Amino acid sequence: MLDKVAPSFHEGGKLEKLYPLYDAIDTILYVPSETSSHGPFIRDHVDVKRSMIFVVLALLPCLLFGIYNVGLQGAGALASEKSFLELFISGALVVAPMYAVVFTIGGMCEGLFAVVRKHEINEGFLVTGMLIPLTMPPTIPLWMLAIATFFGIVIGKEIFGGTGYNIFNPALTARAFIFFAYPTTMSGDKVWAVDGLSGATPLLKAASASGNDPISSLGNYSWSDMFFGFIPGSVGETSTFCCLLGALFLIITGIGSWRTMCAVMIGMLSMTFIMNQFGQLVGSENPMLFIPPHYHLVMGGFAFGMVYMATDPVSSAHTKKGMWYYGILIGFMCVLIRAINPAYPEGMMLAILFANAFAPLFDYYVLEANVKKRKLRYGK
Amino acid sequence: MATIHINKGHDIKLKGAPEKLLKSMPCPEKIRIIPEDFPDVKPKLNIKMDDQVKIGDKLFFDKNNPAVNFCSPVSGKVLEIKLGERRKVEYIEISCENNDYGYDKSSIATDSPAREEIIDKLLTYGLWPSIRQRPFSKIANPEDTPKSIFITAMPTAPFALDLEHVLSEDCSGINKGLSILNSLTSGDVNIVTDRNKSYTIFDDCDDYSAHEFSGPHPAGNTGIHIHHIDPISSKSDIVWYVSLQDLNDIGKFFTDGQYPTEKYISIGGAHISSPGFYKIKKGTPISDLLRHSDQEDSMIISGDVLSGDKRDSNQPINYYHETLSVIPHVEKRDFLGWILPGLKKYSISRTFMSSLFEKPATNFDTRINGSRRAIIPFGRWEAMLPMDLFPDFIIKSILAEDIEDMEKYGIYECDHEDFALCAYACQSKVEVSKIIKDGLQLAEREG
Repeated sequence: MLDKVAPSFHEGGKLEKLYPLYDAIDTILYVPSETSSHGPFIRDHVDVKRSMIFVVLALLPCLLFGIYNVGLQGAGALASEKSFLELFISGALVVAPMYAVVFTIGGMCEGLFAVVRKHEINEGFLVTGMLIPLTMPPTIPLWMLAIATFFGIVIGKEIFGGTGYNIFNPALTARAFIFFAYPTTMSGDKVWAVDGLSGATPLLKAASASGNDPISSLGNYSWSDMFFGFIPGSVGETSTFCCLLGALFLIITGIGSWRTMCAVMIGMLSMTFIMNQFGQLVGSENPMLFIPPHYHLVMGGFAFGMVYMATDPVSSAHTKKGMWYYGILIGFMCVLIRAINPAYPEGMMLAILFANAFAPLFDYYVLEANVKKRKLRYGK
Repeated sequence: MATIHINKGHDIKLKGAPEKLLKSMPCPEKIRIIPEDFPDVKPKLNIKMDDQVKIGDKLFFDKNNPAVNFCSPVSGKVLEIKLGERRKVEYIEISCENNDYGYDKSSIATDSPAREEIIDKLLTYGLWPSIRQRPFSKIANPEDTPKSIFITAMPTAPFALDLEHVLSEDCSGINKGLSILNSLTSGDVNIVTDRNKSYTIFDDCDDYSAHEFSGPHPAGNTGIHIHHIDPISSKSDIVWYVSLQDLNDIGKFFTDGQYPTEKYISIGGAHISSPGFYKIKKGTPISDLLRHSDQEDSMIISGDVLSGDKRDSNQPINYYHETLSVIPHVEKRDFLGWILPGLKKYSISRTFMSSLFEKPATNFDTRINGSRRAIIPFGRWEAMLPMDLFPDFIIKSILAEDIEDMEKYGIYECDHEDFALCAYACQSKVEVSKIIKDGLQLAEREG
């Protein structure tokens, strides 16, 4: 059937302008039949579509658990009386509209730009669309989500020329936009309000406590609760376990960079150590200084950011060495912002955006070092 | 002496790999010479239709460099001179009648000729074009003195010749060839062999610098060897390279005046009736070589599938190529290629179920297997390029036509054949090889 309507979308056809839309649908069904016109005459079977879909697959554990957790947290004290399925469905009723909004708005932006700028509809949009709701609190009004998506796709990506040319991670740009534009919704202490119940995220609890024992201020959230994700928070970020599952999948398939992930961990561990020592040294009353590293890992969006955001190949450093510096910077900044900035305890988003901005600089120095090294070899 | 192991790259296993058997192809009725095989050469003809030519007679020379002659490998009549647009010579067709030489064989052989004499003879009798230079992979300029000369004895591309195997038949010219080349350079003549193989063809040779490489393709490419042994720093930093067959031929030419009329090639492909190594007359049309093979729905490639050129079956393979590859050419479309597990899809990436098992030989066709997209740096190029260079940045500087950056990132060390695997592995289907070719042209013109 697609072949029948194809002529009207090709050059000179009636609907020539809508070719990117046709192409997107057509290639979802079938791999294009284009053959190589010059060497190499054989090409690997991997393509961008498959690569991007694998990121989406890696996000599935987080998404599924997120849906369940939204139901669980929303039910609050009544949770124990409801079945797993009930919780999952009530979660889905919250999350599904979020996805509907994001993919409608995002799809429209991507489609419009593809038609006007005559670029293809890039599968990177699927990943961005998957990520945006997962980084948002489930209580966010849908209109805000719509604006955030628009901002993330257009300002974060399209004005630079689309996927492959963007400087910042589009999903994080959307998140940052909401954070700065509507701070009361995003960073007040009542980030959770489904069915009239509310609860603070562990990060916020720790931040608003005082003294040097942040763990006791977490109340009934144990480390394993936080590791598996039975805590309030943004839709997809609560379960470190699911994030690590995704990480494993990304590393095995070679889609996500293990270098970046390791580097973020190293940065986080070393900065936490510094902060812990510093807190003791000055006898600080700031509880965030005393959070041990394994708690940093499971609190807030650290794991989610490390696995899915920091590894975005486009906005991260492109050189292997650069990835190490870039990842370490993210780990560093995340802990630093969490510990020192009293206004907003979630440092991961800003840390990654900050490192996105620095990524080209790291690459630049890695390249310059390479140029110098090669010059020395030539002289020999 | 350097021993280097290459980690990056990949040996693609293709169906129809040539068997280790050397056969001779019968002499064809006619051969063709294609001036376009020689990059940057503007041919000016010395012959006209119906002329009788003998082996070693001049056919044409390069207008840009009139000292460089191109001579006939056969003796016979000029049957056709095909002119294309703007009177460009597309090919010269000559019948193969006898083995008469156009020169006195005994006048060539000398014991220790001087440099000028060597260059003069190579130029006059048309052996010079087999000496090429890097950067730019074009015929060497006889006025240059290269800092070193490279010879690879270990081609690693798919369907490549086993040089040790075919040359063991007659490698009498190698030693003489080495001493000839030694007088052309101020530095070393380097021969690179495969560390995991034993060679007998260099047994009587001295006077060269031996290196051993190992690892997957492109470990056998001259560009990779030059990069690791004697890297090229600038446009005027010149290295020459010669194929091992041509080295042997040059040696034999200076020993007893024997003219190189034949060469060894490998023929591979799933549809080929007997893939193997063949000794052919230079310029033999491909249709003669594939006489017994089914060529329907296939693409004929002169050279290997990664860095070769598409050819018509009436044409011969490229002057410099030693491989003839034939792969299926289909246009059917795979259903839902982005999600199905792909048990039979060959991929270097680990996104197909096939990556869980040992990869069997595959019958690759010419489809690009995906849609073209913007460059997304998943690191696949880097994993395929065993050079201390950053392919992402070289490619981007070429696309931006930023010559200063291109030079800084090492464009002069690049050749399209070394980047062919990057293009193979690219998930965005970026034409990496072609971009490198364009970049080199730009750098040569304006750098």
